[in-house]
Amino acid sequence: MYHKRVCPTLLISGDGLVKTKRFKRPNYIGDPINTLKIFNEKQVDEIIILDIDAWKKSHVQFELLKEIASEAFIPLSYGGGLKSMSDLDYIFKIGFEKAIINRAAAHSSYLIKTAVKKFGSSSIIGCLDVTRPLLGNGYRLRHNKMVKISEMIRLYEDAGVGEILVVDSDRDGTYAGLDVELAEKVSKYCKLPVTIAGGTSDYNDAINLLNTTDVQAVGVGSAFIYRAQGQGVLINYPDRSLLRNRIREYV
Amino acid sequence: MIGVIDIGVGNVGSVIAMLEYIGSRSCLIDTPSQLDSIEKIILPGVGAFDTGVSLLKESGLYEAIQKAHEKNQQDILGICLGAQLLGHCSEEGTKSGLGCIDFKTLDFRRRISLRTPHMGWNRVELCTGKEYNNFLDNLNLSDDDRFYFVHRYYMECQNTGVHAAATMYERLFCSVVSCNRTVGVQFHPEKSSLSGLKLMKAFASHVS
Repeated sequence: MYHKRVCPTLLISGDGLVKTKRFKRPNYIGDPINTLKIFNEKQVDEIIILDIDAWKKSHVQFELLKEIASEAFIPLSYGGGLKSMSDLDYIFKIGFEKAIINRAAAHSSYLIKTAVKKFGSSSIIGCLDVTRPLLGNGYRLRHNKMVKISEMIRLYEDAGVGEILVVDSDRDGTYAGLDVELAEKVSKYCKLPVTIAGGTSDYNDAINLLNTTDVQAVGVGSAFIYRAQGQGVLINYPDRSLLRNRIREYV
Repeated sequence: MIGVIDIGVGNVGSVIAMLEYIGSRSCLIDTPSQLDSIEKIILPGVGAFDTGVSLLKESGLYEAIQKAHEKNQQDILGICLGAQLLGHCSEEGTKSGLGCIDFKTLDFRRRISLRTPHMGWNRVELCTGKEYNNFLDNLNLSDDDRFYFVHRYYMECQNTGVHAAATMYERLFCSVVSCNRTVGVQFHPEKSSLSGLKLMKAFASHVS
């Protein structure tokens, strides 16, 4: 029986784990290696790691990522600053299953097509970094306001990625709840497995979204890092049997 | 000593990490001569079929692994793409696989309506009542065991003699193939937490 996934989503800045609100004002949480150890022991479904500075600084922290990966006997995805085939070569070699491409895809799908040819479609995730305009409705890409989300999905599908990751930047760190409408829109438009992250209020919110939409996985940040909104750090994850019993079978 | 084939497609880091964790000695292999001194071989793989075949051929390991399988004196474990490479061919590419085990690899997209790649945790049902003459004979999977899959192409055995386990993703597909001392697993034991550790321990400790 196939299980949809609930994935802790960790943000790195420098050599520390951070939590942000709308990807701003990073708050230092702790050592990422230690946090990985804890999630590994809790046997979480999968972990998504995003380096929020890597693109700006043009630097991927391979040594840190190698140490992080060595703690995990669970699947890992990484995104942040991946721009070249040699970046991707190394990411897979050190132990990540999937590489998340976001801004490198903005102007050309060449990197993705080449990566899919070498590493296989299952290894490459196309990221949609989503925001809402100040005026009017709908959604758009945070770093590529001229391209429609639907166009970006087509670009990713045509380039051969294996999965789409929707990062809801507006809801990051807010506990506002996952945007079900956004999840439904993307998953209806797209044939690939979709993961959505941003705004999860608690694990019930994640389970509810998985049970009511065709999304395959949810990325959860703050709810698995803090004891509760406004409270201190407590790395947590629901019991596996709870998730197995509550998440409906995907058929 | 367990040799982990490193030809540039595969997260060898994770395989080595799990082997270290269970206390098994391991080394990286990128030339045929290195195969002589080891008891067991792991062929990991994350990537595209044709790329895997080309890299194996360039390194000389293509023929070396075929020979090792024929001699049947070393345990061989193929993981994900590494498992698929043990078969004849794949709909993902045009090149020939190692042909060690009688199966071919097909594309999910032509046969099921669920979203692909098959990406996540799933059950593996070992075929009972068979004698495998490899580590599968010592592998006791319970109802709680789950393994991590991430693949768009799946193994299909017309030859029931090599079919060792099935997994359900809209349809039943072959998740483990076995022929003498060579086994291929579609999932990633090195990323399957406790269930994966159980399998790796069984592989590492098996004595023929």
